[in-house]
Amino acid sequence: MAMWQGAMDNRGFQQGSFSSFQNSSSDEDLMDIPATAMDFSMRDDVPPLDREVGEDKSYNGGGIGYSNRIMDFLEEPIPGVGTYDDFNTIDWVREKSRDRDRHREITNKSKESTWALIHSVSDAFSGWLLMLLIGLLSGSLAGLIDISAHWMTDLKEGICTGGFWFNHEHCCWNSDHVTFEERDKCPEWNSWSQLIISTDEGAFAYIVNYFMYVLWALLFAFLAVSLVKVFAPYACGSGIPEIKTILSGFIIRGYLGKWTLVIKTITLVLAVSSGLSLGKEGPLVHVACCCGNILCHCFNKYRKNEAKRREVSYYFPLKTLWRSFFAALVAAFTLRSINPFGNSRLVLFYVEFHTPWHLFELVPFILLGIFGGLWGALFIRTNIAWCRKRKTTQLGKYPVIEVLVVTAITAILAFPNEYTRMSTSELISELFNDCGLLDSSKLCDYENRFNTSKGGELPDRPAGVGVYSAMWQLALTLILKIVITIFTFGMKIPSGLFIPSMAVGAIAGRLLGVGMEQLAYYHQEWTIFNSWCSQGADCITPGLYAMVGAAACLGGVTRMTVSLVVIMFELTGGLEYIVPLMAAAMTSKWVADALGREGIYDAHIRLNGYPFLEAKEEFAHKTLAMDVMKPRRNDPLLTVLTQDSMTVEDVETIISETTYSGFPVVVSRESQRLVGFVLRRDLIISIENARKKQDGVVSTSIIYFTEHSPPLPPYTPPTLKLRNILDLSPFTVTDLTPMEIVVDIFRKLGLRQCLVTHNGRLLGIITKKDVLKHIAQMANQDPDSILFN
Amino acid sequence: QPWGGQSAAVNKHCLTRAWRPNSPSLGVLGGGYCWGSCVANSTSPGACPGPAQPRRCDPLPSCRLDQREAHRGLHREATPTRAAHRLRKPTGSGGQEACGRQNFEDVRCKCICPPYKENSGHIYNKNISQKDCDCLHVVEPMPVRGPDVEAYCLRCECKYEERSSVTIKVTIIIYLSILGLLLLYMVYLTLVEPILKRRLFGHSQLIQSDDDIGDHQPFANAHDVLARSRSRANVLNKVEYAQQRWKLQVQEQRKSVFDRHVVLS
Repeated sequence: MAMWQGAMDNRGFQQGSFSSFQNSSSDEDLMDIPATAMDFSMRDDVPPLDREVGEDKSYNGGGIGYSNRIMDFLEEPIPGVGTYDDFNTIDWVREKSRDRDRHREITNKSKESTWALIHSVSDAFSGWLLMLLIGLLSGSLAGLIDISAHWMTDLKEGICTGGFWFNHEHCCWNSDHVTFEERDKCPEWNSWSQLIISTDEGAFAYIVNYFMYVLWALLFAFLAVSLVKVFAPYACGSGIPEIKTILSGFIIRGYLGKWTLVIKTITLVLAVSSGLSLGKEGPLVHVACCCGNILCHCFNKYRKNEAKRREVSYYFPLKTLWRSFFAALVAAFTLRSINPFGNSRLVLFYVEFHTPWHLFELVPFILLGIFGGLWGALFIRTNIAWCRKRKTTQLGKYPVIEVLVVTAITAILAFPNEYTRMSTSELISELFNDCGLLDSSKLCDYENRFNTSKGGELPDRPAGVGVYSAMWQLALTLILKIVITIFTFGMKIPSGLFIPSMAVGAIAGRLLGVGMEQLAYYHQEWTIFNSWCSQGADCITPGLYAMVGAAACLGGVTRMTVSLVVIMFELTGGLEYIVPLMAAAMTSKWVADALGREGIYDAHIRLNGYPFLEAKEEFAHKTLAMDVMKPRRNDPLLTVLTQDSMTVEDVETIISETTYSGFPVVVSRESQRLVGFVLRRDLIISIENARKKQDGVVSTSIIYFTEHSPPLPPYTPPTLKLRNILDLSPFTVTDLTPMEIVVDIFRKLGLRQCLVTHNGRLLGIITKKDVLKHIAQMANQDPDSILFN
Repeated sequence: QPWGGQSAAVNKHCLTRAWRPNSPSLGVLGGGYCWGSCVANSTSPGACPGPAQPRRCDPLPSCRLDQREAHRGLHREATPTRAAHRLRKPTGSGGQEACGRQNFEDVRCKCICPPYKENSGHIYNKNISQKDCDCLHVVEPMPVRGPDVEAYCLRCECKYEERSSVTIKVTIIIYLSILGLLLLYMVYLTLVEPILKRRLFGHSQLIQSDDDIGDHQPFANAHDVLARSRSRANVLNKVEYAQQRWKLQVQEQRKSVFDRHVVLS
């Protein structure tokens, strides 16, 4: 949502003023639209504008000033080539110029008639409407996920007889039988043992509850993994690495489609409620992106332009990612204001305390930062190792069994400990909570030795028995979470990372916080304490420690700092804790960076070998374009097309013999002077179309890319003009350009390929994948790990 | 004269009347509590004058209260909060019924009162409007008497909460029905369809089907059906064609995720 907004703000509506330099390449729709091939029905619903169809038929316009979209081919992609250009990258420069054309056309037309004016206004307005719709849709989906996940999580323990759709909390909402001591018990809520053996006491009831808990967890996990497997394999995982890559212009067809959306939404609930150590925030990003993509099809403007959808994203990939994360968050917020639960808890983990912190407390905060960094590095390393194992060994062949085994282990270990039994987000909110007098949880079981006649702030108190036992349980929870999360993340079900790593940090923080609190209580005479922590004062807030710890762990895993602090601020709504959060996040980032170079999402991108050009990294090697370009010195010459001497047969031979996705066009083989660049897919489809529709085009027909057809002897078959698919302004560099600049060009302009010339003669070509491979090579990594070279 | 005597009931009346949750002077006390001259002067009759007395001290739920006010018109001095509140409430003849029914389940005022002296801790729940959500309205019967009421109520934490049980119900039902449909479809695709296909196509395609089922991959015969449905350009077949195309894509996705491990590993 915010992503689109950024797009609009930055340059969405000012494009009419750009002068065009390239008009005839409009039909690389060929390459891009099929990328969203999941959405056939959408495209069938919206007929292409008449003008476009009219022009498709006449293949002679010379291309200038017109946008020749060969839409009618796209309506029926040839079956069998299903994933022909799946896993491809898109060319930003061409997309941009195409959008400028479209916009200028509308602007010109708007002067002509009122209707066209309305059209132009609606065109401008559609962007905003789209954002609104995306927000609403993703908000309601987030709400759906939220409500259902709560309900299903509680379903593992029992069911509400007052109305099966209520979760535990709402089942007892109006009950008069809730007592002060046992606040979550009410006669309406029946645990499974009550239903089955009609008692809630004793060992047998415990066993029944245990059994039912594990059984439900296994059932949910099984449903989730089989739905993912049968309907939408792309719905698994967190989705953030893929979204990041897709936003940078990579095409994974169907990744943002309808089925993925539905299945991800449904299975996310199942996965979360199965009690596995995973969160729903990461997949929510994916869900919101799916919403955006699907709704884009309702608007002409976005329907036809792949780049427009991704917008500025490549230049600020991370920022946009988090913007869309915020969009999901804001949408969830919107939904909460519609009020499904209405327990006055508008943000996820609302932090109510506003007690000040002391400068000295920065030391434990930094300690938490170090812990977060260590955890982040450990998690990334082990998780990547495990994922690599899954990818390369037999393990990957049994996704269902793997999920079931992990779920069974999690459930069996989780049930005896009440902190692992409850859902992770509940755990976090309890850890963030500052104990009041009225809290009944074990964590708040302090001894009240003082006179509580006045309200207001509570001083530090000595810990009671409950706190000590809670500490033990929390420590066990911490170990379990650390271990099990490593194996959970990356399984073939929707799984996010935010909640588990926040939980790890929050537990560690709470442990340290309670420790500090007790230390300060019993040793008030120490110099570090006596200056600011007097008798009966509330000087240490364990909840704050938990919050800082959560931020540190999240920072260690994802390696973001500023955005992380903002997220934590958004999540918890506490303004005065920016400095502690920042200190912890920075420390954890430094520690984690020292131990491992990249964040979890980048590590997964690299593991899968997606062509993602990291915008942050500097390229600091002294290589030249000619060292990177293809063909290399010993390779055969670059495959080129000539502008007016090749026959259809020649071209078809080249197409069938090579796998390149595009071919440079030169004046002649001798001179090698560059004319332009033509894409393989355009070429195939144009030739096929010409053979079908244009009379007399046979294998010996000459293909020409020039303005006028070349002089030919009589009695030759009619020629085929393909100038309209030729990109006349391919990007070129000379062979002596330093790679530093080339990498920058690729990064900043989002190029897909770049031609290398020497004295105006075509020498070779550099593609994005060449650049990525070269970077990997320079960094002493395995260059073949880059996907689909 | 309702103000005579020193009973707890009088105190309660008076406290109720003097209750000002939003009054600025009491903002520092968080929820606030009954305060001011009224408590002090409650012994003397007539010390708490004002036109609003009988209604403000009315223990009836707010809903009916507002109804009555609405019928009587505005001849009563109202604080800004009350005025705003009344604006939100439905008025008129049909209002009372709707009000009572809507608020029945989805509004509560929950007061958690910690142990105090000999009284054990207790949780009170009541359907009551937001303005009346305070200890004095909700805690019934009041376990302590006289001057202790103030001290007791100070410790209680009252929270007004709203929910929408209809939203919850609808959401859960929608979710379950989608899940059920998907499961049915999944069962159909994985179990029923191969059997049907085998029965329909008979022996001529038995070998083909055997291969498909041997794969243990649902939709494995999508290519086949796709080719067939394409050859007959029937309108009715369009749906099937779309379905087959989708199956092909899913199959492709499955291959890349589960077999080749190129994405999302």
